[in-house]
Amino acid sequence: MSANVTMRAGSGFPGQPGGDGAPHGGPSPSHGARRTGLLVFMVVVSTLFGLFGVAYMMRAAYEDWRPIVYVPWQLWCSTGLLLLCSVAWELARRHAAIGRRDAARSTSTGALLLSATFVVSQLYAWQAMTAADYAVAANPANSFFYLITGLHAVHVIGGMLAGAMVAAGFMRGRATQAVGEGIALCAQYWHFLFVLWLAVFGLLYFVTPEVVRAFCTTMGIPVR
Amino acid sequence: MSYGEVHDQDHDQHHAPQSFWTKYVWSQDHKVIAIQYTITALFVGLIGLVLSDLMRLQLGFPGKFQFIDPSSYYQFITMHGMIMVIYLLTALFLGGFGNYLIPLMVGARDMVFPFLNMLSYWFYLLAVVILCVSFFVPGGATGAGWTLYPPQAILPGTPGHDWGIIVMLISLVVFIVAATMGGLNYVTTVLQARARGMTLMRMPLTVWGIFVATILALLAFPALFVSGVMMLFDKILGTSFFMPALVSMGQQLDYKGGSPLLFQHLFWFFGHPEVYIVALPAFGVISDLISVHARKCIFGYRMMVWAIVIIGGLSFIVWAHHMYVSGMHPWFGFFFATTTLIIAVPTALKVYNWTLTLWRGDIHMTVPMLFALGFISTFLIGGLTGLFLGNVSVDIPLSNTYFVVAHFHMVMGVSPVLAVFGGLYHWYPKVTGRMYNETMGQAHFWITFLGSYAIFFPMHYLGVLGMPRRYYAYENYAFIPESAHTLNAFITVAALVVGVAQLLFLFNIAWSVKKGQPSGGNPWRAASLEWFTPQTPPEHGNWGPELPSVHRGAYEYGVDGPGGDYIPQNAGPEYGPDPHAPPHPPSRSAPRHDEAEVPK
Repeated sequence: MSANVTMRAGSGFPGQPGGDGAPHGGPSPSHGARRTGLLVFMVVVSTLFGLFGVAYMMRAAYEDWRPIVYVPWQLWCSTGLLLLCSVAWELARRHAAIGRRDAARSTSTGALLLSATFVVSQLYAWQAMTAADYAVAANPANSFFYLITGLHAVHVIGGMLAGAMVAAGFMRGRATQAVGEGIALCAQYWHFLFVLWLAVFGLLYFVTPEVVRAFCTTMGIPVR
Repeated sequence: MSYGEVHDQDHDQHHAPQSFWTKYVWSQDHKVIAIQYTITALFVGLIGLVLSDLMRLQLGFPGKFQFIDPSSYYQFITMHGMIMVIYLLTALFLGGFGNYLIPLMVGARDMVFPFLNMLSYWFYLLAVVILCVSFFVPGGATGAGWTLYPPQAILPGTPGHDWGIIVMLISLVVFIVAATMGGLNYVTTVLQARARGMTLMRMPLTVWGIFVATILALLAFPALFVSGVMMLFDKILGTSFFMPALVSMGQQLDYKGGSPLLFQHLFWFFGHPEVYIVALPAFGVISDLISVHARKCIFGYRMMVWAIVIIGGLSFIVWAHHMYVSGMHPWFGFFFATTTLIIAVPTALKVYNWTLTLWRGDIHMTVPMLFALGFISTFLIGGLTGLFLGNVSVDIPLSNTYFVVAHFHMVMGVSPVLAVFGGLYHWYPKVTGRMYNETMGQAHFWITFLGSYAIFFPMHYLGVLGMPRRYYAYENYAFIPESAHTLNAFITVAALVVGVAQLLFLFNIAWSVKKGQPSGGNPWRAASLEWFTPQTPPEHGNWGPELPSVHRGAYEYGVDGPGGDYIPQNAGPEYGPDPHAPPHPPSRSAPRHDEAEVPK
């Protein structure tokens, strides 16, 4: 899904009649349109994860909730990696903005590689969890862990597809400024992914039943 | 604002796709995609219609049709509900009407992300195919009811509990992906690709309805996605998100600690906005039809816009009124009953405004107008019973009876379908360049309208009588009198007649594509932008070399204009200033008047 937003970043599609410039007849989407599209998409993703968060908290308020106490070190590693991705895209954006084509190309490639490493690190964390007997169906907290981290990784992978299409613009000889617009959108999306990851991480390990109960009591919501 | 950005691209060459495949199949043209969406949705809606008639056969003449056993009856109920609400109405209003009308009504050449738009249709088609596959998997389609409540949805005893439910959930997830891709497009197009002078407050109400409904869809469908994915986990991986510890068929299951109520909250957090996802575009379409065919400016345009926005906002805080019988804290019931009743205010306002638009209008009883008037009538009836059901104390005794069936079919079954028909007849000349057959259209309206009343109005009485819904057979219940059975047979006959009458509609639109009278570009003498394309049907790129510029709202009727009693939106300022412009126009949205552009 995440791939969608910047899908039209390259205006020419192979196999399209008149792939030079306006393949479709109408104007190719302007930068403003793509930025708005990405913004709307990020709101949708936030809603999605927000709803998971609400479901998680509603379930965590029950008496039989067993929070996960084990934090695989791989998760800290993932956090660092995703931060580096975010920084790398930001650097690529700045390089592209001042016309440093080669630097922008290598940093964006690096950002994509780092993102791949992040996904691998997440899988490694899953393996560590399973090895420590936190199986997916063992209790609801575990199920939520795999579901939410998995969905976050899917959004990273989607972003990588879009990012790869943007970076391919260097290969196809598009102007640095045009690719730079795509890179700016990628940077924005990865900052978002990083913040989203912090929220997910925080939700899974720091939103304990006590926190939920305290919150609900303050809001006047009855807790079972 | 992006008037300039789009305008700059005017001089680009227009490479219209040439081959059959790129033109009609893998098309990125919003008009072709809209037609693809519409035809697919009508096809799947036909399946839903047949399913409803099969159910009615069992209810009207119990036991006469051997092939309808309890399992298949529940499968028919489930698939009928799911198809009609999601795969027909949502897809048709957003994918069909949204795709066709948004770019034409706001003066754009296409959606801003045409490739994504094409992908949206193909994902939708995939969802429909997966849905249809579920009839043929072992055990058949799911029979869990369209709400798919766990635990029963995935436990033995419910038809389709092993494969049907999985296929259904996968189809929904694919549909949500499709709707999200489409939705991103519609919202971005409205925000970014409007023609010069097309301020938000000059957009036709159809666009407003679809725009707000799309925002609702983007924010509500994630809740269905969350609940669907979590239920898939419960079913396939054995997690216990929604599954409590329970004994099924004498066996203690491995599930423990899940909460079925959590599913209901998530489902209805989607489910209630879903009602407005199909209602708001209908409101918009009806406003346009009434204004055009009564030759009057829509009464209280700004009020109508704000009503749409407020209804959209409120629709997110009323969901638990679907769950009164599930049990909740009394304060919650109080809260949700209050918010539910508050929604009646902007909704009633819309009905008043439609009535006041009709008041002393020059009413033309065309087929679209008939459907619009029919909509007001059925929506009013359904809305009033909604006020009953919004109250906890009234809802609890009525909740599991036919009263609720009558209510929601009137308000979100018949009404949006009438709006769909009205809209399809109204824009048919623009889409095909030809007029539908008037006689067949009139016959279609009267049979559908009177028939729907014959079907659903008696159900209110059955409900008050206490006839429970969702039952397969009603024999041997002392409290159900013989007359109720007679009434059921009557309803079934009416339903069959209405079902068959839809063939009139299908034949009419298919026949008129080739044989209808040529309609010309603007047969209704309408003022909104979509009627002023250089060609009818509009060609690729919609507007020829020059994008239109807009100088007024879409509802200038009953005035002295260049074409008669109306002034087109793109008629230049020499036809008078915009009478509905705000007194102190904010600098950002001030229309830039260019040299005069005479309507084409």
